[in-house]
Amino acid sequence: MSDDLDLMERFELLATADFGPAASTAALRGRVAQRRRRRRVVAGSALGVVVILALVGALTARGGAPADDLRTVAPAPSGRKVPASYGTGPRLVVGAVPTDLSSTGCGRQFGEEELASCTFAIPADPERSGLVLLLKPAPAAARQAWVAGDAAAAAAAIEQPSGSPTFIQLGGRRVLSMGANGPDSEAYAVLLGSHFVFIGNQGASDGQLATIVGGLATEPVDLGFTIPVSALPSGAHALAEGQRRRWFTPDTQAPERSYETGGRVAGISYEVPGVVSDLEVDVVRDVDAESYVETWAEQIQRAEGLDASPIEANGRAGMRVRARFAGVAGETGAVQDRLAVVVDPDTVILVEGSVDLADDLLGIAGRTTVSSVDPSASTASDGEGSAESTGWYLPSGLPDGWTVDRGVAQATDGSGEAQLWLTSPTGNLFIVTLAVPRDGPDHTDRAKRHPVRGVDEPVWAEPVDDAGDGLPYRRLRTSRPGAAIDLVLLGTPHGEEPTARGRDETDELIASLVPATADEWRRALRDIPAPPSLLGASTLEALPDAT
Amino acid sequence: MSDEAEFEAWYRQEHRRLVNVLVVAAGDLDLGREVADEAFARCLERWDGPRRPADPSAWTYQVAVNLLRRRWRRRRREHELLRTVDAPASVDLPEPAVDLWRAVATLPDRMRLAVVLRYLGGLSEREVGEVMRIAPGTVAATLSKARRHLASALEPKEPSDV
Repeated sequence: MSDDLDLMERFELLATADFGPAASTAALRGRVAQRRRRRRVVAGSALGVVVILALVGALTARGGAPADDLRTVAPAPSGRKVPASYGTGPRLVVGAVPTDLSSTGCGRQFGEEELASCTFAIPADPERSGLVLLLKPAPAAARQAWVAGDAAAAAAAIEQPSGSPTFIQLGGRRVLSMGANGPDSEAYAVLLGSHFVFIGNQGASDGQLATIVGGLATEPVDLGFTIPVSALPSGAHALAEGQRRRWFTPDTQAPERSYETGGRVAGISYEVPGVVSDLEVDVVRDVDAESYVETWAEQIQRAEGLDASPIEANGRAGMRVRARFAGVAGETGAVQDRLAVVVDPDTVILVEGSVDLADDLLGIAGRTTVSSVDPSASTASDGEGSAESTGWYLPSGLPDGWTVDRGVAQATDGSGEAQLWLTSPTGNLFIVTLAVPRDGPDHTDRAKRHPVRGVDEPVWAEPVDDAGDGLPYRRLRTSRPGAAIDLVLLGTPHGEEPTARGRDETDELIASLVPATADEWRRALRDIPAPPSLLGASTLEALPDAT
Repeated sequence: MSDEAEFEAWYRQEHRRLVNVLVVAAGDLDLGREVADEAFARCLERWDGPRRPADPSAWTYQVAVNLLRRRWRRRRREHELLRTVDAPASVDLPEPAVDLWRAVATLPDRMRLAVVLRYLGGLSEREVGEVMRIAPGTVAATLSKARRHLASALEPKEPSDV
């Protein structure tokens, strides 16, 4: 049973099975005619959008692509929020979805080497696949080629050779364009620290693609809702999260009848060990919650012939639909529960997962709390984190290609400290410690003044070789009145020596961190959530007031 | 030979293999046939013009796999193809093939697709990689895992009442 020939013989039984006669060529031609009619309808309605996108693209091109040099020491402040995540790994974060795309799912779909994927359909063009995003670890050779600006080597290192790979600017980012990867589709890659996001595009416009690319990240974001850890199934870990758009297609043969289901949607997808289907939680804001749930149930009933039953989750009224996927696995089809509950008159929580997790799903629907401020709305309005947000941010943002691996908050001797573990584009691991308050740099007599371009404050560098593990630590320290930054280069996460760009990256990083004021650091530190399971006493109470 | 006659000959030759691959990969008779018809129609659309694929069989396999994946993805979220357990069309199979059908149906999507393309479709590992757009090494690893799964699923069971 282990060799190819044996399997081929067994499969002969299925190869010779008769699954019905072939359709006539005339029937196929009828299909072709139907496809052409549909395209004409869709093309008519989409023409205005295409014209606008073309104009935007032309204007953007006329402005010229901004330089994208990772050696830039002091990147422009972006104000991007960098929330603390507690011991979690990277996930695929989609920060923005164009209004005319439909989020069709996130989760782990492929083999073990990939981490997560999200897909987006184009309701106006259902014949084409839309966008497929896939988050994968980036091999060191690919990262190095990326930093060196060698598109061909980067494409080869990630096993996506194409005719003429080139770097392009898209969504404010450097993107590796790898050309056609199939009929009517093109492939792209975006480097995010230690990971790549591969993008397959069949049918999405440049504008749609740019919006998606511009919002990609791998660190957690503030979704505006909190699922208690105790409500999640054991071992659940996030694969993907971010903004979503939900569309409903009542008739696949009449795509022009598709419509967006409304509201602002943020969601998160978990993988649960031992459970085939992913667990998905969405929060829908700005809707008439009761009618939304009612319509949601009706849609499913009408489209799928399934019954919905009323439920109550921790006092929240809602509906549940239980359905079996028979198509994929026949008798072993997965049974799924879908729940929708009303949180308040304007907010709905949707939960979906295996029926094996029925109690967990109900718990999540009942215990998930939704903050009064929608982070996507506040970010869009002023670009700053709100006081009620649960993340923290680096006021100057991170250089392109860096990612946050881990964030830790801790309260020590009455001061506040926060620590970030960051991965550079070439794979170096850094630990950044922010301390409030400190009188000045706590450097040793081995520290030497270290000039960093773009940084006015004194910066000291010192070797740190007494950790006992033989790793070539190097520390940079600087301070502003009332706050200190301590940055240690640790080498690679696998215990190897830093890559050749380690020192330059240290400078880049310190340059990106220093511009924050002490008050900004205090505010950032105060915004760090203090999960009781990690910290015990609340960090927030230990922090001094901003002066 | 005219374009139409040429297509007809190619279509009759390729139809059963592709339909069978898709029905087994989908685990669903209707879905497999629907996707196959759609893929052949798209090939026909290009057949008469300048965009005729250089290798129509490979092109149609890739289109069909794309369509199937898209249906899977949509089913995950929008459930357009969701059916109750009683709804799917029945598949008539010779008795010895039933166990294999069931064993293949338990494989994850990616493994199932790789296995049917390789052993039912008769594609080489390189061709499987091209159709699925995955690296050759990944194809080999996926097939290796799938073989182990199938070996375990098809292993004769000890009678429990001995």
